Amino acid sequence: MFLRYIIAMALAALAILFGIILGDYGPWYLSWFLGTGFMVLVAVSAGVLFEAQEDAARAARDPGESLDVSSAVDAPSPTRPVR
Amino acid sequence: MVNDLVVDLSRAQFAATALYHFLFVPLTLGLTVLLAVMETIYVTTGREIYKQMAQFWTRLLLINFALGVATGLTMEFQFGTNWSFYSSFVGDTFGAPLAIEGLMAFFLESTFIGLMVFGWDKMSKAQHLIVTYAVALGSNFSALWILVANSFMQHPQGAEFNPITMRMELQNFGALFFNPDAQSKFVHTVLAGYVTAAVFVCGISAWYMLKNRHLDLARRSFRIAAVFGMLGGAGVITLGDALGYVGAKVQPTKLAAMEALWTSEKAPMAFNAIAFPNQAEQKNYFTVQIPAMLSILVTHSLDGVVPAIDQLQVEAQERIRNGIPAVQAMERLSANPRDEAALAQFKAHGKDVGYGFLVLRYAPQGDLSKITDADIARAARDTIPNVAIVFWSFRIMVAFGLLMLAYLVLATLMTLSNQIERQRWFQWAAVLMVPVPFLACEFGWLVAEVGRQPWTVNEMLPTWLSASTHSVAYMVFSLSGFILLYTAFAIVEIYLMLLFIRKGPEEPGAGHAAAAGLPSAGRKLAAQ
Repeated sequence: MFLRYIIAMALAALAILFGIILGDYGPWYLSWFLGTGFMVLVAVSAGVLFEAQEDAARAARDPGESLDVSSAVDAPSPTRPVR
Repeated sequence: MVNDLVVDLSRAQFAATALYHFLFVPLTLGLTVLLAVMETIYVTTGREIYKQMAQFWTRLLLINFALGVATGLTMEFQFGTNWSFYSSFVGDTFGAPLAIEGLMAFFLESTFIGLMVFGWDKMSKAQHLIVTYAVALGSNFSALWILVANSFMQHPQGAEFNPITMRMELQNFGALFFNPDAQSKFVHTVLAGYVTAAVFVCGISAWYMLKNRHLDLARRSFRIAAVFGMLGGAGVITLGDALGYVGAKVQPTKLAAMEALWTSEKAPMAFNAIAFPNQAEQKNYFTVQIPAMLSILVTHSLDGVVPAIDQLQVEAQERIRNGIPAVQAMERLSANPRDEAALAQFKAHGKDVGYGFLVLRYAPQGDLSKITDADIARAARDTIPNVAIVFWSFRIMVAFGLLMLAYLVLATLMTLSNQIERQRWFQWAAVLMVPVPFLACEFGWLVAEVGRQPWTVNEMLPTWLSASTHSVAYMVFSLSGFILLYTAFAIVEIYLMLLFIRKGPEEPGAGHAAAAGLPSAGRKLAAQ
């Protein structure tokens, strides 16, 4: 575990050094690198959110009714206690 | 001296091949990243629908990738066949990023794309995901090196002109790679690719919703693409501003042409939203202006002044006068490379040697000592590109860009609230939006390349001097052949795309052969 930690910290240090150097000489290149990563993460989150919304809609649906996901968007989360 | 018609035909051929090639490139740039997004969701959630999505969109990527490669390779050959003097002049510098693109980026992309298509059942999920990211990285790195090469043409730095070898010799690779024009152009172009792919995926997904087919795939694809595209749209506009800011410093003539800025004004300068430029009279007809906006957009300040064409022409005349002794010194050095006086004369005037080349076309029998003031004035006018084309191409590109941002913001809001399936009008709008990013990209390249005229290498090598000495008949044959061939390619691409889109995704569990789009006989063979 300790070795893994050292390796991870070394990689983090290298990434920071890379970012500093690239930021100095090629700030827009660094912005592409970070920005694309950010966009990928947000798009992945949007996809995962879709599944959460679908699951919530399925849980909120009564048997026999057609799936109306938009009502599940407004419906309380199944994990929230009902007051 | 190269025939002007041969130069124009060479330009037309390169323009045609570049515009065709860039129909395919942005989609590859963005779709590879979208595939990585979809597969990331598959690996993290374990939901098979995302694997099916990744395999379906991969099929469309493959069609597009193949056409992109076919049209791109001929462009590299054209540098040698049709632009031999240019290749000789800049080969030492220009060749390096092109070679790196081929060896590093393209090999990365093309090697891993095979693994991506055929490796679904042969690798673990994590391994295949890494492969998909490698393909995305490879395609973006390809764009990086090509744009480093193009940016050298726009703002040559990192190389020095050697008057004895008549070449731009690479002095500083770092300066070449970190060229500010390359940086802003690369990020702007790849983000345009991300937006192109996002609008494409949204459009196809909306088509499926309209037809009530493959709804699981369509709704999820639309969600991912809309969010990704909205962020990309905001980014591409931001980087467009950065590119304009850089361009104002390194290519003031192109910027003046983009804004149809014929006469100097005091700050704050008004922005010509609409204008009808007249190149011969050097004025605009029927302008609609927004006060102060040009200073704000270009210089990010109300006090900022943007040089106008009248001022730039005066400066060009000075540079031409300064460049004439540089070309004369170069001619003496070609006869006697040890002529110290000629070398000293070149060093004193060498920074304007390109302007000396520019006026050389008006020199009687190539003798610059016979150049008159009228010739210098003509050459100075030549430094101004076709303002109408550059001005309107820029505005059309920006209009499309803003339209796409507005559309993608609305698409994101609709998909996040799960309204998209109910809004048939928006689904139709999504389908109709599909050609828009492709057109925006094409107009963007017209701004970049027509705006660079009359130079192939800005302020160093004029276009009229760069072409090969082919015959007119050869060029007509070559141009016609390329247009016919590429039109056939484009028709084949559209046909195959529509065929596979109508076919839709394969059912889950059909295996890697299905992902590659093989017919059922091929699938049976692959399964054995």
